[in-house]
Amino acid sequence: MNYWVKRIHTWFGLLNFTIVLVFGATGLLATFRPAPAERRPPQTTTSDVPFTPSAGVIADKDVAVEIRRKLDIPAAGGNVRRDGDNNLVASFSTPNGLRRVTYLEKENRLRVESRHNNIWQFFNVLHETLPRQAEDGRIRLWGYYTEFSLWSLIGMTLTGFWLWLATRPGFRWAQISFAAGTAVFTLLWIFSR
Amino acid sequence: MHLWLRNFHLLAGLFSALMVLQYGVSTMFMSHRGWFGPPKMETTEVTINVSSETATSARALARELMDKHGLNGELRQGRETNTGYVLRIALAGFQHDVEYSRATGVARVKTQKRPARMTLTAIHQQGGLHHEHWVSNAWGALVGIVSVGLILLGLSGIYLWFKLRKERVVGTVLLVLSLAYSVSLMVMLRVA
Repeated sequence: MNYWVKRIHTWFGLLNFTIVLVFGATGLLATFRPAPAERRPPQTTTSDVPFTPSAGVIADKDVAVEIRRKLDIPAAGGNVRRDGDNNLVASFSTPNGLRRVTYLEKENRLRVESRHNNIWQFFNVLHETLPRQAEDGRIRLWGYYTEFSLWSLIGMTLTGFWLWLATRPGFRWAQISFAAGTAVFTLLWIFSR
Repeated sequence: MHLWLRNFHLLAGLFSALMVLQYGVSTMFMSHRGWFGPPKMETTEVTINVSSETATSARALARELMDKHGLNGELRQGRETNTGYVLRIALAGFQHDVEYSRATGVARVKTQKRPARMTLTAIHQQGGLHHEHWVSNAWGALVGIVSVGLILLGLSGIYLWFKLRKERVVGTVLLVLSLAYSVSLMVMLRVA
């Protein structure tokens, strides 16, 4: 039994190696990033792209879908609205940052504003990218990986705990380490409620 | 070296166990809300008298409520309204929503105690060392420690796997598949 628990623990670890590093990087960003008031906004660039929706595409949300496909935006989410000039504005959330696209219908072009996340912010958005129903295949595939990782994390913790108790329960430093981690978590939980 | 890394992997894993389990479980709550139904919050309401001479700003009001009336937590939101102030004092497990009227000098405090799954979700989103409340900073410190732990657990895990000769073939296949899948997706998403 221990043999198979150890194998499963190892296999989960190997399959989730990349995303565990992403989670760690995200946690470090969360710890060391400046307070919200001190953060610099990401760099933004603007470009124009010619665009005319296909015949038969009428509704704003369908135009937004065409825009996403035309620009190949890996959108994890988004919304559609009209601005003060009644232009269609489609905003797409991507791991690289927000992409806001204004459809200047009379000029048959798109005004594309792209915010560029740095690598740490990219990891942060990746770690929370879960939509398995996203239209974009890349986002969907990453979403499957994130879903798999959440179950793997639970599985690795439980199998790791099992392996400790099955093989080295008397290891004093392990007992201290577990007690310390549990005590800190429990105390903070109590003070948070 | 091997024994040292093996011990480190065990100790780091055990110290981080509850936090890592929290991340997994809270992600499940966030990702599959439909499985659990709407959360039930315990709500209580009280009114507190605070003179308008004391409540000269949203922050002054919050300070008064914290110092004199036992409202514990971090001032998360606050703004002035036409009639007074609204603000939120909260920690991971609860929130106090306050509506203050300058005319009457009365603060209506609605306290919602979050159920465990919402508290776990709030803890998941904790981070940073810049908060006003020590509990939030303590969570932030724990997040930092566990984050370093996760990275080192991953790296030490690779070493420990590689030392298991019988697992090298299967492990290499799994690792290569995993890296091919994840790294190529990351590159595709980064360059898009």
